[in-house]
Amino acid sequence: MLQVEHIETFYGQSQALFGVSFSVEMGEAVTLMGRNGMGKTTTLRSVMGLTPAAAGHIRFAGRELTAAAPHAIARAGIGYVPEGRRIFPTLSVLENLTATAAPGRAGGGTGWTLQRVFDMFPKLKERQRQMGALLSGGEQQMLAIGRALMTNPRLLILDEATEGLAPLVRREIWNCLEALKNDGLSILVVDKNIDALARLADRHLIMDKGRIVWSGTSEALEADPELGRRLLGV
Amino acid sequence: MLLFFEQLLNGVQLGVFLFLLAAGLTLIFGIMGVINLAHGSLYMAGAFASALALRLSGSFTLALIAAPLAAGLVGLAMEVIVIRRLYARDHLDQVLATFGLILFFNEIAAISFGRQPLFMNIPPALNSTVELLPGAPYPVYRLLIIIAGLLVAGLLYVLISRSRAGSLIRAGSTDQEMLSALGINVKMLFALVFAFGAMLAGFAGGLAGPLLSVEIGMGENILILTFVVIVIGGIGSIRGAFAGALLVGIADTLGRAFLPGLLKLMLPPAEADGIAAGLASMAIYILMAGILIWRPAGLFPPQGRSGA
Repeated sequence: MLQVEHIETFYGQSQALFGVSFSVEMGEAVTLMGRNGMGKTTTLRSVMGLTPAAAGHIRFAGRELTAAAPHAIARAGIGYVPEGRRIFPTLSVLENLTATAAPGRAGGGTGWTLQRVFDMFPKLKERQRQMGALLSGGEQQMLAIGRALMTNPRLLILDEATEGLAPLVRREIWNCLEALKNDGLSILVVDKNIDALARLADRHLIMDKGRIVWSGTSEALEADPELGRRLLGV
Repeated sequence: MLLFFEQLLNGVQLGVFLFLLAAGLTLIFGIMGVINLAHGSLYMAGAFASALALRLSGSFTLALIAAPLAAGLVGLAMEVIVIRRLYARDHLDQVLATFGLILFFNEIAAISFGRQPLFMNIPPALNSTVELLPGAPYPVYRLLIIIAGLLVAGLLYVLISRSRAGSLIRAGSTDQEMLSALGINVKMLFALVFAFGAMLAGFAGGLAGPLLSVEIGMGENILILTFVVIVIGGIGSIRGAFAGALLVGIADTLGRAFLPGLLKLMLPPAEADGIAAGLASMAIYILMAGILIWRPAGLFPPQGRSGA
């Protein structure tokens, strides 16, 4: 469904991505791993058009999105949960969910409604009148996921899905992602929690210095503990 | 006492004008970060459009509809052709470019309408007075301006704080990139907000037509007051623009009306007149300085944003 082919991305003069290629198929969960500064966030930003790739191609659901504007990419059916959540601080929880909602877009599966998001994250319902800035980290992450789901994406992209969250909240996020995957949503996720990622995802990609240097299944990942030490710094 | 009441209403009426101008300016400055000196030209465009519509149709209602429509269209063109290129530039570039626009619009107005001021008559139906307090007749037209302005202020408040468009505007003032990554065409949102601000300025111009003469450069004087208003109110805040506009409108009007009399109680008449005239024109700047010492970010700085 998502095809990324040989993208090269620059920040000014310095090159961050050197010919990154990968794909995410319909209903599949794929992870992107690697140490800090290896190009994971840049890869996701290039897919979203936020830091456009200077070379290479990005296709999604048969559409060429290489030079498309971020809003066009989002409208093609990609939901983005960025690093640091980036909740709109001056909007209430309810407004964060509804301001950018796109009920008509209904990419895959059933359409998302406020009610469904609240069923998935009951805490958001309790806090719906509060300003986004006042939420805890875990609640903000739930809100960021809910906000992306309200655009009815076919592919959900999460950057650092559980970074800085308490273990209990992490488990809640992983359970939620698993439910979303079982619901048929495609997921591309960046995180450092190998055990949880291995359970959730079908395939894994490891980045090193702006390149994808390893890819394989959960079994292959767990069978090779050397991999984690060498490329993930764990 | 009755005179004070009348001048207070005049101050409110000036404040309402200033609010219509300041609302657009503060949104544009607060959300898009653009200093638009040509906002006064949109006010002028509204005034000329209403004068023209009144002359052609004879209907004051049509004139008041034409004013915001024309200014909105001019504003949209201005955003697409010029302002859009200024978002990423620094403030000096913005000031230079929009100052250029002032010259451009003044020249266009001179070519189209000539340099003679146009006069609009207050429609006969509204050209009367009403006694608000016994013994204090007040012009109906001015009262209508106050009511119209307060209505627009109320609508705007509901629009910004309650509607989905309003939440997008508020989201856009904190994180445009995130907004675009969620499928919102931020460029178009900005163009619409700009055009909307232009419509408010044009509406003010249309209302002002019968009170002032419609002439080239009419936007520049009021623009300076408008900038004072948005700085006092807190840049980017509609609530602040409202409070600031009323404060400036009332302070300016009361200062001009009563300072000479007050000073004459203490000083020889000749000197008092001179000093009072100076003080009256300084009053709003003294007010601004005082408020900024007390609250450096203005009365109601939008929450959730650091710095300006």
